[in-house]
Amino acid sequence: MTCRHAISLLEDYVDNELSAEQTALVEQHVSSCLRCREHFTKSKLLKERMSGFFAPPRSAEQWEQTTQLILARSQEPPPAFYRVQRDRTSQARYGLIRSAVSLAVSIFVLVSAMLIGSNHQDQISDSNQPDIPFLVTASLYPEMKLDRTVITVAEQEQLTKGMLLLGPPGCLGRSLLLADLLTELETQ
Amino acid sequence: MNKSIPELVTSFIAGDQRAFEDLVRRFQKRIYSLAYHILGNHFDADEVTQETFVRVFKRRKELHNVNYFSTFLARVATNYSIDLLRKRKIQRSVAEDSATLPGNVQLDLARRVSTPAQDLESKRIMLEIQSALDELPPKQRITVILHDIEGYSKAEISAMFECPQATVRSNLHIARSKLRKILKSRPGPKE
Repeated sequence: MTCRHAISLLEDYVDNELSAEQTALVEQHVSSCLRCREHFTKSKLLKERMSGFFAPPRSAEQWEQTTQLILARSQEPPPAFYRVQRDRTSQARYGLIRSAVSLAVSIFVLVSAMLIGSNHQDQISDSNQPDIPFLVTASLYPEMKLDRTVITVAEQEQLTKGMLLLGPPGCLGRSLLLADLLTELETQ
Repeated sequence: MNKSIPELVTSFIAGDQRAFEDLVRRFQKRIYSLAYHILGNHFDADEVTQETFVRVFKRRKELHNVNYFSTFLARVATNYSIDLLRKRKIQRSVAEDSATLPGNVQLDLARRVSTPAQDLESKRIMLEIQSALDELPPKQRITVILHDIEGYSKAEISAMFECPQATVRSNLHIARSKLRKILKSRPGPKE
């Protein structure tokens, strides 16, 4: 047996986990090799010291106190800030239901928005029905100094074109020009 | 009448409070010792001991094999000790005075006819080993504590952590090798 082989079996030899044959071979090698013998001696000594390593002793009263605390704590309800743990099955089921409801609500909102948008688009683009009332937006109302909040679709289209031509809000004279435009539309 | 551990565990799972108390009295010292070696002080070891049994009480329905109760206990204790170690980021405090020497060493010292110098040397070696254990990574430290100090077999440790025995063997061998190197590198009389 080589030194390398013997050292590879060192820990198992110290743990008495070698076969009888392997143990005999290791012991034969160790008896004739000083270096390996030193190695084995140190390993065995370390293990012996570790196995004699106990925690500090405690009195009988201390052990009894720990026992009573364990028994008391095991009967306590869980602390208020910890949620009661549901079992995994009901947690998974609850999560699935929540996901399904969220998905259904999202689909409903999306479809509704699409329908409303579609109707609104139809109203705006339908130039054959210029008299359909159109609510003036909150941003447009003060800018145009309107005395009414409802204008027709046709008026809205004209105003939009005019606003595009006149530039963004704040341009000099824009409000006056828009007011004139509306007056002109009214007199038509 | 003295019931066997499997009988007590079976009764405990069924809800017998007296069986639980009996199990606590039988196993608390071992769990305390394990926690003490990992954490290094009485207060944390006591906390781990209490919390381990409380957790086992609440998880008693998970005990499928009554013969593996001690392994289950040790696993819960070790995992909680590791969590506590991480939270507090403590180094194991090393006992400096003889009043906190390991009990077995105290008894041994009392029985032996030894000189004060020899007693002091034994104490110093114990402190060196405790300090060297501190330098090991948690997994290796716990493996060597469970195997060499607490006496759990590799099979039990493997079942505890649900890892192959070869992994346990490897961690143990590496830990011992590191301990020897650490102790060799320190000044003073060698082990």
